[in-house]
Amino acid sequence: MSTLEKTADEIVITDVLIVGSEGAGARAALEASKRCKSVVVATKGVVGKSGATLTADADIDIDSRSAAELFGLPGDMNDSPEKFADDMCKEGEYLNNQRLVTIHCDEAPMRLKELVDWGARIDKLTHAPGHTYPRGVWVPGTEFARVLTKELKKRDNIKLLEHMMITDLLTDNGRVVGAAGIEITTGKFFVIKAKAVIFCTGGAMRIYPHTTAPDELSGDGLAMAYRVGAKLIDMEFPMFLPYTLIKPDSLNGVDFSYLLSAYVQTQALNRHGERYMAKYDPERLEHSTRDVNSIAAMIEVLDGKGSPAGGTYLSLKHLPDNLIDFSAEWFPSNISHWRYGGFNMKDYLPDLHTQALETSPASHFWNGGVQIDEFCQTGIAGFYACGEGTGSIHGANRVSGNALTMTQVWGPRAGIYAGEYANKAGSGNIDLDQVMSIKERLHAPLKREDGVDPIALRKRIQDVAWKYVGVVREEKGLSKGLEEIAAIRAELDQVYVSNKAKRFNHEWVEALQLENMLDVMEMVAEASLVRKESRGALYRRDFPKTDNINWVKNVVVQKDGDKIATSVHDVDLEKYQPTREIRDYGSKE
Amino acid sequence: MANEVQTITVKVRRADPDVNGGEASYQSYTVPLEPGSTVLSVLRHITENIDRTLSYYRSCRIGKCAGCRMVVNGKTRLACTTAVTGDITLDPLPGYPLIKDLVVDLSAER
Repeated sequence: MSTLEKTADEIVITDVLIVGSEGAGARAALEASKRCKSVVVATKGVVGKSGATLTADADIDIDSRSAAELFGLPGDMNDSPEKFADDMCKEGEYLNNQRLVTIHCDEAPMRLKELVDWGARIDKLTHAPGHTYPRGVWVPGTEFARVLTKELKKRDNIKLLEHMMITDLLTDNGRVVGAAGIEITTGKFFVIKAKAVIFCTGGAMRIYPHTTAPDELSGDGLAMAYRVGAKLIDMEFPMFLPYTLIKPDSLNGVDFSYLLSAYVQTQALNRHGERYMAKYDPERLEHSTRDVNSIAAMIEVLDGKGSPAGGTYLSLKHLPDNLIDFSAEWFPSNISHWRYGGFNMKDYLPDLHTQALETSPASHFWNGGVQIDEFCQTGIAGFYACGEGTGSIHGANRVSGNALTMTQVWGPRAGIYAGEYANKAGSGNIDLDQVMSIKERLHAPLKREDGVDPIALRKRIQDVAWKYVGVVREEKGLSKGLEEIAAIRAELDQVYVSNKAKRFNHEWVEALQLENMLDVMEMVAEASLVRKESRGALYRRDFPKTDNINWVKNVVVQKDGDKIATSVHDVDLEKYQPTREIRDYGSKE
Repeated sequence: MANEVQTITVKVRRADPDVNGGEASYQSYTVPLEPGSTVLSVLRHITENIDRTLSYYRSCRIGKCAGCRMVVNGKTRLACTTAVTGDITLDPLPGYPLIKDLVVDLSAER
């Protein structure tokens, strides 16, 4: 007779399971560990060496007055959490949940203070576009990773499971009671029984071929949440960053060139040598918003005016040689002297005095995601979510510096409420049939001897995402995209992994990510089809106006059998209201 | 021939604790040298096009997470930001428990 003990290679029992270990996940774990007996943090990578947080380059937003009062930074005393919230709603084009935005802005200073008390080094205060006052406290993402990893280590009741790819939530009569997955280092099938599960799994930037995000962000959490019936909101708003490198291939998605475009007057050129931004934003040109720059580049590419690699050119050649040389000296520290991250860019880029870079927009951030309330509840008992990959906070677009704030405010909240719930709740039942069917599905690609190559299929998914569900969308393309998604989905049950080793088999991981990527892309496509206007991070070429009369509304997607059900909901505009008008996309109120 | 693609030899130390008692041996791959190649892009080429069984860890690919540290021609380097211009030999980071091939258990570092 089958038993759970025989089916699972390992069984772990805990009060709270947290999936994701970085900015949001670590903070959730620290709070949950104070409120219940045991916390398990599972991460697909290595703690402090994976995830989006440490790649942030990076400021964390708090209101300017608090920056002055708490940290002695040169903040503006006229600012307040309310004014920060107002800016968030403006940039989010009023799709944000205003109750959540208020909490976000109120709690941000206290959460940053805790981080500093734990030893995080803060630097200057920056004033990024979209903010009325300077609100960006400079803390590199690597500093978050360092401090939070150190704090996690101090708690005896937090157990870390690294290289753990959680693949499925386990449910019992509509309640989430744990999760299952594969330990990548051993290939073992794990069942983790938990009274509450928190997802801090990040965005799905990897559904696109060009992204600034780490490899592992394939939207696993979004897809798993969808498959157990959670509601996802604002999924039509993946954010893109313009002017990231597409050549050389090894630096695909590196945003050094975007930063160049911010600090000196670059020229974006199409294949005819036209400075095309003159058509899209004649006043600001390449200093237009991230969205307008991304959309413009993509329209040029779609209209057959792109570069050989499918991007546009970014040139400094119009500038005097000695100005270019001097710029490297005064550039901010994260790109000074042609260094970026660990790269000496001179090893990789052509001579900028004579050559242009080939650049492209890249997927950068996930504005939408699992719909949560102020307690990080998802509507499914025992299931909580926080951080990137949850919707409702940023609305249609995120202001600069607010990604890290999101992790630091909502991570702790999820930890608090899931910890309290787990402390009172009884254990759920693990359904053996569910576990057995998951195990069979996960191992099927390993057992097949022939079939579809997972890496080729991943590239096809990314190609479809870029062409039809990418920076510029329209009904015809989205419909075509949905057809392609259906065709790819039909091949999922033929995917086979040629490498049969169980230990650190990345081909297998790629195979397991495919369905997640496909589910997420389908949600983006369906939500985008519903929204018949352009707003924030969504540009519909067939509906290029922003319609504040009919479309200050959220699109929610939810699994309905084999289909995605979409619904449209009014936003509660209790504090901050848009002007009720129809206006050109990208024009300010 | 001017159009002939330049290739390099990449020698990688392989070991799987589940196979042959974890005995290690070097395996050589012939890889095209693209402009701007990095150790990581070379490894990616191998696992996508030549040998799916080769294991390595990477995340950020911009020199921040430091998860892809390994020994490149005898020196500890990050795979993602180390330029490749000729033949290379790759070994796992010494002093950590070996998981497989170029993957080591970095949790000891915390």
